[in-house]
Amino acid sequence: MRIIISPYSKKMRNGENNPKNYPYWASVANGLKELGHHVIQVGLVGESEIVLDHRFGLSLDYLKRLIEDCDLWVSVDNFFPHLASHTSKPGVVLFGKSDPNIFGYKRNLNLLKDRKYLREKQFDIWESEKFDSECFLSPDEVIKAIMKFKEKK
Amino acid sequence: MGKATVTAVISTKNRYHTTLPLVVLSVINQSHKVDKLVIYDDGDREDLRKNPLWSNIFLSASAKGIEWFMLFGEGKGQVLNHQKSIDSCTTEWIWRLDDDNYAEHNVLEKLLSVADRSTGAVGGLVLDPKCHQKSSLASNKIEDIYLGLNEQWFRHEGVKEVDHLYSTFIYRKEAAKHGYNKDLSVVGHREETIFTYEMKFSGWKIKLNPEAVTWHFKNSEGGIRTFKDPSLWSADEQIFRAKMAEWGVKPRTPKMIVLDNGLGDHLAFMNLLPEIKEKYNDFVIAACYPEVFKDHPYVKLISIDEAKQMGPIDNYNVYKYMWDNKWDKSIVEAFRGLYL
Repeated sequence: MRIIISPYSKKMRNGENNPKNYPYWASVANGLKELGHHVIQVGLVGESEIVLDHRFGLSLDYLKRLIEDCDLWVSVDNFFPHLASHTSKPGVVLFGKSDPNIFGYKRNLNLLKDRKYLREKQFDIWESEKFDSECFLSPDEVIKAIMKFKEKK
Repeated sequence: MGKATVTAVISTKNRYHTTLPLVVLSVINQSHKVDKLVIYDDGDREDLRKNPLWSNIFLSASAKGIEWFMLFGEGKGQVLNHQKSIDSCTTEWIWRLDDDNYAEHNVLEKLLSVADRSTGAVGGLVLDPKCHQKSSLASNKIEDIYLGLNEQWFRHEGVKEVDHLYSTFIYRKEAAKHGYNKDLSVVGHREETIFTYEMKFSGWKIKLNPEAVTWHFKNSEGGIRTFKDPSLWSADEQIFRAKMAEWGVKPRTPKMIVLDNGLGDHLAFMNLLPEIKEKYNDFVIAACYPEVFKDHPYVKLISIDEAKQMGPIDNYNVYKYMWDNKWDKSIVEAFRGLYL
């Protein structure tokens, strides 16, 4: 399978790690590669490279074509699921502290470890929130959920 | 055809020692010399002849052959003063200026250069030195009056015919037979628009020459800023709305959509675009990411800064909407609640 990953949310104005960023991407990407899948990373120029096939600075049009051509996409809660909502391709979104009921789309698989980790002020700026890796599913859980989602589709 | 004769008219209120000297000097130093300068003092009636600065200003006007008059107004506002200036005018043209304007040296020349026999009034740019933006939405069509963006406030090119003018402009005495609207209050809200549109309605051309640049040194003291009662403005607005109905003008009130948020939020909103298009004949989107709409050429786009010029934008904030409504449904539904 060709799997697109969009691993990062917007850079924070205070320079801190965005609390929406999934902390175990390298493990997920390696796990998917070991299963024989090709992983393509998209993002902004300057972001950290997680996989060899990284394509940064693509236009929205190009990204939409890439989504249509791929077998699956996996993202954090950033612009990517909203872009994908304009294509025919549902995907997998890794949530932590933001509420998938508000920021997710029902046709996607919205993975949330537990609603107890959701931040109280869902509409506040992210600079006022601390990063917490505890609020995310483990890489194994993510890979299992991705494979099950793909089988169903 | 001889040189056009012009009377410059300024109605002032207690700006003797702030911006009034600037506008008067800018009138005196025009490349096309004015024939007369009339100042209507609606303020404290200071005797400026005893003031050293003003004494020199008046002397320099006389030295240039400009007849000047300092007349006391009745303290009833500029509309009455401007009407008096028409009644007593002996020149072909009247050039009205506000007492916080500063006209560049060639404004009068530039305004007159585009006036032909069918022209009733010509205005130029009236620029705030603090504002350097352009505007794609600014319009001097009368039906666009409620967009609140006057073309005279933004640099652009090309002389054009417009429906109305604001602040400072020249007008032909002959085209002013309808007079100023005497029902307006002492603040004279909408007085220039009513005056110039009535001219157009009577068949005269109203023009805008953006090569004529007058600076608006907004003064928080004096002038109509003296008056704080909002009912004066709303009473004048009622009069204006009645005039619009009388003229048969259907004002444009486009639906404003403001996306002062992230790329993902723009893309979420896009899911509603077909419904927005169906519901609203006329809508304008202020966007941080205009590229999101590039496949929808029917969408009228402006910048967030332009939207702010039209008024406060807080109530268009979808995150504020969600916060205020303790939102627990999707953000797409929030946009729907906000705009549909």
